[in-house]
Amino acid sequence: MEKHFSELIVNTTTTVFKSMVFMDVKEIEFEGKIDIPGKHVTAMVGFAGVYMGLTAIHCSIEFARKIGASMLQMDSSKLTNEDVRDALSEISNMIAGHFKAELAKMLDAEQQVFEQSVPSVISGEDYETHAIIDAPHYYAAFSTGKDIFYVELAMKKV
Amino acid sequence: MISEEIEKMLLSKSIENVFKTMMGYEVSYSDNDEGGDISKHEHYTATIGFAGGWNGFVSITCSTDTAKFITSLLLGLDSTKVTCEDIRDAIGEVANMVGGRFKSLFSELQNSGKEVFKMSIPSVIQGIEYNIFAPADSGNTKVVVNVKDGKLVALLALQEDSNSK
Repeated sequence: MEKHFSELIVNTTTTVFKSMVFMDVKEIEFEGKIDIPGKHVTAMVGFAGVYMGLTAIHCSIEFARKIGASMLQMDSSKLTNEDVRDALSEISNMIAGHFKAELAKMLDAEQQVFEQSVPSVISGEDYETHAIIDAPHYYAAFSTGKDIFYVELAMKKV
Repeated sequence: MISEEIEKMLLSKSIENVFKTMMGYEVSYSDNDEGGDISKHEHYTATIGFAGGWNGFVSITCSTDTAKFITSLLLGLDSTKVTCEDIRDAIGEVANMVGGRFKSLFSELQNSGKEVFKMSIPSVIQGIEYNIFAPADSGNTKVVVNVKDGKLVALLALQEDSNSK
């Protein structure tokens, strides 16, 4: 089952980036820790229901700006910090939403497997995040060729 | 939709209640307190998401010294002996309890007989020079309390789910 959750989060991320950000992203090997030099940003969505947990996307501020520019079809230099945070929030929301739909299909569930919270965004230079959960934790690393970003899933059945 | 004033009152009561009943500590307030600039030094933030008929999250942020003090109160340890993991567990648990108390007070206020939301798992952020943001349309109610020589800043984001209205 754990392997399936891992695969689901990878498939979900590649699908959301292709359809909403118009970017092809490729999974690369996760080397045991999130390593983003300089200013970076994290958007997290909590969820609760039959399963509870969170999904998070971690990337550099430059890559978040590229996501915003692509989603909003705007020149990245014209985006405000709020635009960038909103775009990354929206991506984290869509990753959680798509994951929910795929998980429900995989489990053949008739009811919603969870409901989502609003995203919280953390932005800064020197910080780390820890999900407090007594259950497995999944990380996936992705590359667009130039940029690397990470998606995290922490989840347990209630 | 509830007013910022009511959100502030419920959030303040939740924090007061958790500190008093779980740690035997009375928090205090200063007038017009914005909480200063905790983010310049190492600090901790714990968040917990709300999902259901109402969506949002609550976060609590404080300096490492204040986080150590809270950990020592909650776990009954000497504050000089607490580890980073103890701190993460303790402030994650405080966020969880504040969220739970807020849920209970908010449910009483709504009086609809339905569960207002479920809570996700806590997440803890540790570092220097970082800030946490909520979506602009989910309110950004802030409460600052004095804890020993430091401040604890709580942020509440809350919005009614569009399908529940």
